Amino acid sequence: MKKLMSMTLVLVILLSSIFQSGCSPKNYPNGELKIFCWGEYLANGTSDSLDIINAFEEETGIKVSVFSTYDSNEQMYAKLKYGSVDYDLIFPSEYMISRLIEEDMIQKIDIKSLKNYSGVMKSCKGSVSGYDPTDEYSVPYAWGTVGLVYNAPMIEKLTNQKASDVVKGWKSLWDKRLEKEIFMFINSRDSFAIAEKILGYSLNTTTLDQINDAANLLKKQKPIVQAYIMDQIFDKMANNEGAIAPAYSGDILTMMKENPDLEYCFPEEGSNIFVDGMCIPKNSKNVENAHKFIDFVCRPDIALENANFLSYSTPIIGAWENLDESLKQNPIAYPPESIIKKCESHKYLPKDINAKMEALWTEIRN
Amino acid sequence: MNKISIKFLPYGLWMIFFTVIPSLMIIWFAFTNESFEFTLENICKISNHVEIIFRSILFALISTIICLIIGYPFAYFMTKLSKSNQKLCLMLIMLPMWTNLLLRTYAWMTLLENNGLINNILKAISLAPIRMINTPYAVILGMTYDFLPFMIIPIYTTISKIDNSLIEAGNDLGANDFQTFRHIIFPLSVPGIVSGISMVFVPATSTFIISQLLGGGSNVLIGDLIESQFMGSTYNPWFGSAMSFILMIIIVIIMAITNKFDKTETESLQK
Repeated sequence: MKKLMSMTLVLVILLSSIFQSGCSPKNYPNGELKIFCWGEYLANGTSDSLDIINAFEEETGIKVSVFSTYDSNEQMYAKLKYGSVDYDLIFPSEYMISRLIEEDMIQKIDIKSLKNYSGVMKSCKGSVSGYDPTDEYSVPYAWGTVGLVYNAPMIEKLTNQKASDVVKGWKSLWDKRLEKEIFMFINSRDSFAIAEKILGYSLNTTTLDQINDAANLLKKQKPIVQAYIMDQIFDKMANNEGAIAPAYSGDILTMMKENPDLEYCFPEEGSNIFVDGMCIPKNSKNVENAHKFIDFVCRPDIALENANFLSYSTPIIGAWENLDESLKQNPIAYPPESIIKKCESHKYLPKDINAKMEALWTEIRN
Repeated sequence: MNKISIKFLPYGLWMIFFTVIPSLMIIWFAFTNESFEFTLENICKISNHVEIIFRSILFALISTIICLIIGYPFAYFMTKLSKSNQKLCLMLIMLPMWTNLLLRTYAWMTLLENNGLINNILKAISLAPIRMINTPYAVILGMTYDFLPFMIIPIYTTISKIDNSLIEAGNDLGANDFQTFRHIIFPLSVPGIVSGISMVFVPATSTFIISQLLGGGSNVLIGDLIESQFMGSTYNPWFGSAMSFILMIIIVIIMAITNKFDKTETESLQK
């Protein structure tokens, strides 16, 4: 009998924990919001920033009941597609936005209801670089470009030349004099994009010959690459572990703050512009609240807080105008029009091309 | 009988939901495609990655052997210590395991880096720095370090349980120390060795984060490949499951071989 009791108790506890999410506390009269976001991607009160979630809850009376994080678009996609959770707001990158639209996994946003939408920079919008042709499914959240970061004294020591004369473009990542001092991206798409830019191809090419050319180029590079990495790049470049690496513009700014020897180069061959947007999944249960949050984040004062917290560039004009002069005029974060014109954004590639690229990439790194 | 089965009900349910069903799902995924049709394509595709499988097994084997070479003498001499020192030793072995595996691997990263602690010491005493990070050796070192306690502990347990009267009997019959070890202690410790080997080899074969952090992303192991099927830019759980399925089979085969070795050794002792 006792056993039966304890077993029922266990069941009750289990069940109650499942249903717990169903009831919300009284001080949030306007329902809830479930956010699925990149890690460290929303000002959270640390290092003198505003706690955006808190501010939003106080202002709107909406409880942010779930705030989960992911560290890759694919991880987010997998959870969204096969997980049993229903998020109300996600932050996919441009190529993932086009995929989610194609697979009918996100819903149209009522742009007209967003008071602050008019302040969004045109150059970041989906209709300009093509990831969201009608601008109906996403609102830009942050953007940046991919560039080169290099350790000037190290390069000068290795080549006996002025570093800015050595590093001009992606080709420097193939420079034999920098053997074993080179880092590369660990993900296939970003690495192929670099090779494709050197070869003068589009980074959205679906021609198998061009992809094979890029693969051959990457294969030639492998012996002189020290490591294929992603997040460790910060520590590695800060501690002089390598001489040159490709990186995202926001990350480069962070690294340069930590190590004064680091310098930036926009590759002459052209590069990749990336935009992370805010989207509402099809199965969202709090669509209205999601709209409120998007509008909140687009408000210039909130966006400014976010822009100071994130190292990525803000797409909100009103926020950019009030940035520190040094950041506002910084060509790494806010490159001139002439450079943006040389950039291309990733589009979602057909499945077979993607699989082919991934297989080639495993083979190259092997 | 009925009472026993009620007692085991929670464990049974746990096993069914979290071991049996997931395993069946892996097998189901391995033999289907996106539209849930039966296919052998996933299994066939693995032949493109034989090299990776071979490398995973090789790395795991090397680190298992190193663990055994370091771990066995250590466990043996540990049993010779006083009871309180034995406890202290055990605690020191367990101590690193209180820290997260990821953290330990990161620690090795900072030790092995070009400007890491070891190379800085080498430079300070004017020796040439060595390139250690992002090499296969670093991966094997990381695996060995992380899994060594799993080798020492089972061996230590079996040796310390050996009945002392057996050793005394051997000594009475004129066996010297080496003969005692060769004919009594070693054969009786084989079960410990076998479980040590399986506790090191199995996680070492399927490890993934160590090779990424210490191997520089260019010593791809089967664990990395499986991870990239679920987290990488090609989301392909079908192929990932097929790889996991093959990995399971490889591990089962190797375990069967080691267990057989265990049996023959114990049987020969009983004769």
